[in-house]
Amino acid sequence: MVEENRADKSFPHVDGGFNFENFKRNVSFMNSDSGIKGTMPKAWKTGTTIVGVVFDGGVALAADTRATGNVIVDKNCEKIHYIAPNIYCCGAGTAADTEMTVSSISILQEPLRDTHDTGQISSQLELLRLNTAKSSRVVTAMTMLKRHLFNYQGHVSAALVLGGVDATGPHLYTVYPHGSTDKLPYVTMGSGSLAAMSVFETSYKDNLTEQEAIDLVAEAIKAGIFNDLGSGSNVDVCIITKDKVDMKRNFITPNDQGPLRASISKPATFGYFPPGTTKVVSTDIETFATVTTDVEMLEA
Amino acid sequence: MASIASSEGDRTLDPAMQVGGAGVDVASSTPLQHRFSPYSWNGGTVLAVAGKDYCVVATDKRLAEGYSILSRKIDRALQLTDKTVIACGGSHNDVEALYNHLKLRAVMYKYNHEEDLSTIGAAQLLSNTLYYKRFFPYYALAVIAGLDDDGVGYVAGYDAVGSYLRSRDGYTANGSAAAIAMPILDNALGKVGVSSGLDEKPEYSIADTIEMLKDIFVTVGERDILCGDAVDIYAITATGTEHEVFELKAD
Amino acid sequence: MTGKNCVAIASDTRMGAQALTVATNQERVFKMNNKTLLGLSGLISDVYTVKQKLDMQVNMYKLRENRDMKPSVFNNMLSSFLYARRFGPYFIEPIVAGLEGPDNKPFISGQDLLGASVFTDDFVVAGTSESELFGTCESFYKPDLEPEELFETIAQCMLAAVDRDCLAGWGGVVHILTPDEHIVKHLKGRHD
Repeated sequence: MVEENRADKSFPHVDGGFNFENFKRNVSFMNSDSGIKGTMPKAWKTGTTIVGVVFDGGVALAADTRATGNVIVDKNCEKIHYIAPNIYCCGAGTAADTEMTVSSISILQEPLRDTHDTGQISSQLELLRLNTAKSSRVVTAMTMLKRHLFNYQGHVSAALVLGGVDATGPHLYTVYPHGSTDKLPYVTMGSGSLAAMSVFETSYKDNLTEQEAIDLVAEAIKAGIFNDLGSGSNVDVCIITKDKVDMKRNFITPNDQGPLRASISKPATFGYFPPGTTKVVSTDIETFATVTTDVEMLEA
Repeated sequence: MASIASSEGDRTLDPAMQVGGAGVDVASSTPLQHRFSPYSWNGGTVLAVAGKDYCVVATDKRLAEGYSILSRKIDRALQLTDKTVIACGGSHNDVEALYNHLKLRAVMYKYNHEEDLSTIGAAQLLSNTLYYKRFFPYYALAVIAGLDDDGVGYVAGYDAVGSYLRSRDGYTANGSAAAIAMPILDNALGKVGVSSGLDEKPEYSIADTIEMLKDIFVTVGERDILCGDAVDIYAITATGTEHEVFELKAD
Repeated sequence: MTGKNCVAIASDTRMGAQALTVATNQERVFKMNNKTLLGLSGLISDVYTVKQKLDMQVNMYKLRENRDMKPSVFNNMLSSFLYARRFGPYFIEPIVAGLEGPDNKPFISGQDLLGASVFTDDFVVAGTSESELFGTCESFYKPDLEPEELFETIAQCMLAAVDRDCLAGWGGVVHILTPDEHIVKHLKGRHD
């Protein structure tokens, strides 16, 4: 059963393949005139401004933190994903695609191995490191990503900014959903890419210091946050140098709603629900048996 | 991202094809057509609450199109008379055209009748004006707010072709984030046929109402990408209309 | 929605095919184990299918590991499950709510139909009344509520929201999970 689901073996990084058991059914749903189409759930997009810049001795990545469906579904999501200890990747596009293509949160669960498939680049790099006992190179991650994305002909819609420092120095790539790549000293992606790029084109210079790079990428993301409706909330920054990675989650939070709420003196009865406000028809309570959790360690 | 959009769009958006007008798309064998879309969707959320002797209408100041912000300080509301304010979301060009027409009609009314157009009269005029363009509508999602002939708060919401209803419980929402704001207003103010909120809905003062609307706009700004920057708040009482601007987040 | 050492999921009880109401007692919130609740909105046949497949995984996990699956682990498992069907998805939007670890830290997450997760520490919403629910929850949520207060808040947010959605309603149900109780309350709502 597993063998039947395997994708083309000439792409060895794609272990297995997607599960298409619902595909025909869904096509017939879409073609039916029952009106079911209008009530289908919608995949979330990250909208997004993501950027990267190479500086003297490292790479700086940055991202906004807004995810959008019909409305803003996540005000503080993480778009800078771990790839390897020395490589990180910002993702834009369909939220599920960027997360699952890149991230390591979903290292294969044992019970799902039969049906699960996706080529988790970070998981694969981990295995490669264990096999070769060498730290990963950015170009390896980039090649894995572009092969995966090209394999799916743009249907896996992940637009990525990939950065890291390896034995050959700092590297910065963009990977497009169809699998094409660029290698540049400063890059932007996502719906806010033009706003962010305008900051880079104004202020970028070669051989930035680390601090200058941090300030520059943060400024670029802020341009996206304030001028692109698909981007918003906070600035995440990730600094990768030869010896360490500094993940600055919520580096700048220019959009806290707290002060705004505090400036309003709304009436006390607004949003006040004393006990009994809601009419209850029936109540069922299941009480859990208390289990003592003392564990005695056995001597080996 | 950008290169994807263009590579997919190349076939249909090829300028050489379009200039000719009669160009034929070889790949799909369908003739290409020139299209003109007279409408745009600029967002805009309007909330209005009526009280015993007052009315408050609030609308955001962001003009948006697609993922772009075109302005952070437009006026979506029209002060038609001392006691009547109209505010619209929708296509801002249509909204402005509609306002110009209504302003003219209000002035003409005053010259002819030597008194201001009443709120109820303005509500009917707005409906007629919208329905007059039934088959090429103004894309304006309107709310009218003011005081009626007895000095009681009057609030009505419209669809784009002039169907309107005075709100019984004295509140309405229209425009891009109406779905987000409406249940909040229901919970706080709804009396008839509403299953949530306090059994006895309190009577709020005009100051409380303004603060409540500010809070709802903060909520809307958190979740609707088209809403933000600032809110115009018009508080209408028998003594006239007071205008205030409340700053929202700019992201 | 999260509270102080407790979480809650609310849902309406209408099941319909577009405008036609088919059933008015539809349950779509399930207890996966004593620490995890799962809410599934969307196509009802998929709700059942996914629930059954997840039940199997949760039971197999318990047999193998001799412990309950944590809510965060359950969330990741569900995410992988949905993403495996990236190009032929189940039409559901799940919400996971549970209590995590020995100190029963509230955990909530929501996912889209492809398995993209959102983790928050206040509330997540899903389904046809999504916009309305975002409005009410954003306005009325307060942190660190006790179970009784949390019930009132989540019930009010839900009722107000589904009143403005013609595809949802017909009463509601609230599941509250505390370290030692699972409380289910059925609500009175509009019948239209």
